[in-house]
Amino acid sequence: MNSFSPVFTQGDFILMLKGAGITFYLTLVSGLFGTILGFLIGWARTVKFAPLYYLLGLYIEVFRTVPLIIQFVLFNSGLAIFGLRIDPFTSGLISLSIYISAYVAEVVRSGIESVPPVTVKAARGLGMTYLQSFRFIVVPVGARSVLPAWTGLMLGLMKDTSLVAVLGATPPELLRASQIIITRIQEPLAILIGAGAFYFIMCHFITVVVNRYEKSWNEKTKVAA
Amino acid sequence: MLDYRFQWRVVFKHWPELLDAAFLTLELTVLSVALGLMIGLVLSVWRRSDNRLLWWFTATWVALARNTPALLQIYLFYFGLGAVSIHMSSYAAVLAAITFNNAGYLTEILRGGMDAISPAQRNAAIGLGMRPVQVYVFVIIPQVLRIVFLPITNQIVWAMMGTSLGMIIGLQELTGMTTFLQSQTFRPFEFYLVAAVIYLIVAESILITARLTARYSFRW
Repeated sequence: MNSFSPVFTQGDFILMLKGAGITFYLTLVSGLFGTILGFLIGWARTVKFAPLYYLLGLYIEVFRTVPLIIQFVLFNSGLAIFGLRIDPFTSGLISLSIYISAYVAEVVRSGIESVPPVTVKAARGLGMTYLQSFRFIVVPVGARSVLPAWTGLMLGLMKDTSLVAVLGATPPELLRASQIIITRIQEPLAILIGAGAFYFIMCHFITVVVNRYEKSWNEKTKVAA
Repeated sequence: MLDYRFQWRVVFKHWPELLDAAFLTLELTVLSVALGLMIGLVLSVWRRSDNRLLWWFTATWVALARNTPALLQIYLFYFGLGAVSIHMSSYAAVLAAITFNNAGYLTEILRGGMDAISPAQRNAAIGLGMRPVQVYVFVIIPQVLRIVFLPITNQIVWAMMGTSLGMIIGLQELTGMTTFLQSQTFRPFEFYLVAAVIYLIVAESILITARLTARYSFRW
């Protein structure tokens, strides 16, 4: 087989499969860092200190209302201004983490606030320190109420990873890989539907895993009536 | 440390173009949300109907819109439909794709709002002698509106961000215009920063309008 063939080959399928792997990797890593950062920000916003509250509120508003493409390009060119050279893939990964942290922060805050103050007071009354009541009462209870919202964010993040292609990040993630194949074989409809199927399966996979986990989580902590 | 000279004058020389592009962004946002809301309203009613065909159609639409990237949807409308000889301008493709996407999300939001109204409300209204249309207009919809108002606001901001994907298929809305201008002037940071501020202002004005509307319309 020659190197240029206008049909869909096995190599193309592997390229798309690898692309799906990259998409998954991007989601996982930026989801992890974004969740940690967002958790800290959301937590800090529940502390009753007005300047911090509004400053972090501004951070959240900015990263939630400026389109991701612009965030990517600004971050990349901003780094260049400071003389830092980072490859597009890493810079995309960092931008994605910061972007999703703003969303996670809001979810975390609403989770913490969903725990009734009486519950926290009761915990403190039992002699727990602030950190203990946070660790053993607020986090477990709050996490259950915001798990679905958090899952939704991670699914959104997976779809947003398709934008790192704008920076020319290599290796290509799923959508970029599909585009490369389309450029060669000129069958946009079929390839795009295939890529859509890949995304669909990955989203579905995450949803199923989280649902199962949520169920077992709730069973384990069910109070014996 | 910073051996970079910021040059803002060139950005403000192109201010009229940026402003025009910002209005195109706003236009796309408003149109895609308005159309998406109309489709979403129909779909959310179909989602609750007994007709299996309508139910499946709606379920498929919602699942496809929510589980694939918006960029893929834009590609499908712009490149994909070209394969079956339907050629769209980049404007039409972005509008169609973002509307498709919006409709999927809005359907779920509206359905969630309708599910939150207990059937007792409906029965009580009927018991008071209201006709079905009156039940919807005076009892159900005002309450649904209150529940779905803030999620819809978020969706509007999201749609605004979504229109920035038009840049990739060559539409000169705010992001596309910014990309074009910075490629001519080699001032990416300045141009994108100004674009980011414009997006922030547009989004904030949407959010503030929504909050004020909510404060004065849902006071009971």
